[in-house]
Amino acid sequence: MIGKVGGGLAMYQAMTALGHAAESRFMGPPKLGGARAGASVLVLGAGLAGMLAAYELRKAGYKVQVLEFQNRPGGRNYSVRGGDKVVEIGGATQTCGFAPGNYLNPGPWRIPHHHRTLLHYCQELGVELEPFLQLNHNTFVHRKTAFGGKPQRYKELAVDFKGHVSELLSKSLNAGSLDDKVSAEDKARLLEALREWGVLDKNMAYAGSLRVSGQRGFDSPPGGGPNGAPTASTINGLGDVLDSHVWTQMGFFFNYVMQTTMFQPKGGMDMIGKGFAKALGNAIRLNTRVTKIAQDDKGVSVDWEDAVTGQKGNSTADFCVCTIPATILGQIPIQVAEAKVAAIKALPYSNPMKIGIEMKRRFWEEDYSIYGGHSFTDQAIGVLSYPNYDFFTRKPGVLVAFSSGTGGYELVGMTPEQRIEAVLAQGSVFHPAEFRKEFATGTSFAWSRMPWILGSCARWTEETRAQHYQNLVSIDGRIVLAGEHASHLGCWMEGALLSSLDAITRLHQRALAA
Amino acid sequence: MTEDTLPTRRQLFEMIGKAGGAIAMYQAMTVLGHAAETQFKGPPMLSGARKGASVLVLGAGLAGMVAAYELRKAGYKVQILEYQDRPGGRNYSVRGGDKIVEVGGATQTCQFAPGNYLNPGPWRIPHHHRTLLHYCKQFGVELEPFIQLNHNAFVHNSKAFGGKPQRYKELAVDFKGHVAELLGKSLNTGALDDKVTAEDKARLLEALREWGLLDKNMAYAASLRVSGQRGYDRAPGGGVGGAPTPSAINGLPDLLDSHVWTQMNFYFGYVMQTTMFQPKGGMDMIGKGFAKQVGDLITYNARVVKLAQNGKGVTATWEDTRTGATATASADWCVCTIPPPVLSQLELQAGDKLKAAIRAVPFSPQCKIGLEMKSRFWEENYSIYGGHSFTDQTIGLISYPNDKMHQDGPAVLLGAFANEANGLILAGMTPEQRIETALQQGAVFHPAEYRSEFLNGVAVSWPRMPWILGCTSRWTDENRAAHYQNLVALDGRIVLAGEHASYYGGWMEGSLLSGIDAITRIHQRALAA
Repeated sequence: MIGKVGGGLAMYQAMTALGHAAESRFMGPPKLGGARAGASVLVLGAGLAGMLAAYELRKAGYKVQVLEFQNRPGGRNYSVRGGDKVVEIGGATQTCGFAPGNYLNPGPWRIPHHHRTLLHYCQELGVELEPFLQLNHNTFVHRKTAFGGKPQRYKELAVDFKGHVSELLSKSLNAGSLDDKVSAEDKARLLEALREWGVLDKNMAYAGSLRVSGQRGFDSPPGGGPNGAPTASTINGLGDVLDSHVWTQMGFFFNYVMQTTMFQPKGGMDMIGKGFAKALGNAIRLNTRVTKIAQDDKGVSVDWEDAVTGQKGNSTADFCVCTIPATILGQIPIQVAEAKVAAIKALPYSNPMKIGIEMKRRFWEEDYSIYGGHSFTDQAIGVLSYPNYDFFTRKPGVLVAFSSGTGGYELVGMTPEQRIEAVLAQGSVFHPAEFRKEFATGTSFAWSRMPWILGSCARWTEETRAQHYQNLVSIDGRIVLAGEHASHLGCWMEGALLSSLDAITRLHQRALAA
Repeated sequence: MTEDTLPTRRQLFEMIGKAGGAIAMYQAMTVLGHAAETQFKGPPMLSGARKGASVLVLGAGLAGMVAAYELRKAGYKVQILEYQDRPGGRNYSVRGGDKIVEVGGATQTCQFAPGNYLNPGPWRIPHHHRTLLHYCKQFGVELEPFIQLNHNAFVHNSKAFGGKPQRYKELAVDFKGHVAELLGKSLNTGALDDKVTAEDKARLLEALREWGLLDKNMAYAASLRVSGQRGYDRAPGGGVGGAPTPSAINGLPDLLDSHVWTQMNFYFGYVMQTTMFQPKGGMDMIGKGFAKQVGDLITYNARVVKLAQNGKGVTATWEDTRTGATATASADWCVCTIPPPVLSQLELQAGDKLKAAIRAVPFSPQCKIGLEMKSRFWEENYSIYGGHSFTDQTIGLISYPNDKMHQDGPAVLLGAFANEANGLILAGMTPEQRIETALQQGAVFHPAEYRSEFLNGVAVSWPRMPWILGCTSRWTDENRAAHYQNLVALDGRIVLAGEHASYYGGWMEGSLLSGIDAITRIHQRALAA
């Protein structure tokens, strides 16, 4: 009711007032009433932003056509399976050798519980979701300069870190060094909190004990019968814990977009793109490379070339939603204001890569009790992630290396074979006995070497955003840009969808006013 | 040996296992770097059983059924007597149509929709409970993730925040922020210079700044960076109005009111750590999996009234609970898994120490309440998928279902998991009063929906279940020291097994490890006899 009367913003404010936290900008599907008969929109790009725009605009009564460069819909919402070809700039070609049912999600791979737009459309399109196990206390943290290069279980390091922090802070409190900062009452309560949270002993010391082992694990765990008594594990000293930099992971797991509960689509991330594509049917023209985008006060005109046949063509419409990634769009003549062209060219993209390694046996489950989650390393591969499906089965499983930053660049510069070898060498640090022995096949995916995007996703800095963001997202004549790059949720599918909803809402208002 | 002929790790373990026995194998695994996550060393190897040797198992819970399963495999003649009309014991799920009859006669008939259930006993499986995982895999019991830690669930303390529940993420992020700021201040004023080296001090300050999200002045203050963990006032969006706005942080006194460290600590408990699992379709899938293997050995509705033994064997006298007829069952040996609260009431021919131990084991009085709701409003309106919201009220917590997420209702919330004194408070109520209490107290988390979406509920108060009279054993250090070894020791031809005969009280893993340990010792005694 509030939504109908006051529009989205009023509803949003009402929800906040009622105590529903502002978890998402999503206020339900857009209400685009009163579209003029025969009005048309041309959508460039059949990724999530483009397909959502087409889906909602068509529902609102617009005539919609989508042009897509690739031979499939989905864009970065993509899964690589056995038999799929991955062709890079420069010609390096891999054919994925995964067993049936296995896949690599080279782009998005996890969905936060608060990404309501994405969850809404998954539900509407019948895309089944299953838990993505983000936080696994039993995975490893590895740092070359810590513990002689031997990986440690996350739980041991994290419990030791909070134990030492608690002990030190309680010492300061007891010595009176914070008496000017904390009231006497709070001091007593904080000491109680530190004793419990840090698992400190009666002297407020963090020391090896069965109670501490009840968090970091036992040397010999509890059992049954006469010999069932557990024995305590040994704690790590502060210096060793600091070597490990475990606070990086402890902080990571607290990131709002990384917090449990998370999800993934059953069967591969591309189930979402396929869900949209199914709903759109023949509105999408595949293999269509856009070569020029022009406009005048009557409409937009887009030149294109069929990537398979070489045939040239032209499509026109009243308006255009352009979701072509900035890396590619920067190379296409587009008739918009200079400020927008500058914004397109200014946008930096990140260059991570993912490598899927199929193993014959799920040794991480059987031998290490690791089910889902990530092991972290300061080597180039960055993260080794364990699959969240087919637990406990005898099926081969796909491990994923997710390399970003300088590690990503290092791996991108290699041939696909060298990358696999790097993962085998570096991943062995976690599972030395099994990693090479159980290896079956691998596929690497270097985003900066994908001809259709030349990068992974937008990485605005505060400076570039201040200077260019509004210019990028503003409507220019009859053209509006959409995609994760046109949002404050860069690199997330939610950003692509929210950007698209915002873009078509503004475009619709413009169309009504025109 | 070439690479190809080197034994695999697993083959190596098998070889060590065969040569040196289970203990040697266990030690080898530890030395080779596989952490000692469990005392499970694979199914027991009970070879050379004497022909015709027999074992009577009392109780068809997990301990009894694993004992029967492995003993039969080893060649023993096995019989199981079970008091109830179903296998599984506390490994149990309540579904629509099921009757719950309490001591005192109160009877409930569960009204849940098809496919919905309440697990009144065990409900979550740690990733390191290898014995249980082993048998689940062997018997084809399918498992799915149990969402233990949900950053978006609530923490409620009646005396904090005016009684308004707060999201766990907000409190936990604020707690670590304030702790980091205070420790940073102490370090910077030199108050800990005698405890921490200069090098570690610098590194610890760096750690605190990053982990606690402190600003450049080492203060914990509201910012977009902090909101990147505790959530925003206005979340990031797309297009022209997409910029986020930060949320305000809580001060230290408010946080201390909330006692959030209790939950932060809870999630670090080894048995509570992610990843956890539950069987698809209900916890009793495990008991049913075992029963598929040993069901032909079980006599149901058999109430044991007397257990006697002599130098030759054991004899149990039992009563058919439907007909009242009395019968006896005899065997060379007995594995008794009857829970102590019940076992202490029957006539048992055993040493005084064992009898004293049986009487000494305290049992806990948990109560669980399942509330079926018309819709999954916690998902749709609150973005809560699985996990628990905690409260200091009697109900203790409410827990959100881990199956059928994103689907339509009806769905079953765990409306209460009450322990200790709280369990007793609920035990003293009628089932209707318990459900009313659960509705009233749970409404603190979801005030607009809790009553309007409610369909029906069912309450299981363990101390009022006639077949067990309690939930699980709760050894204290003192009574364990005085009685545990007496409880688990072989007494003539009788050995006790169950979670109470383990250091894993209240966990299925404890029952199984105890069952395996008990039959291993019975087998050795049988061979020596």
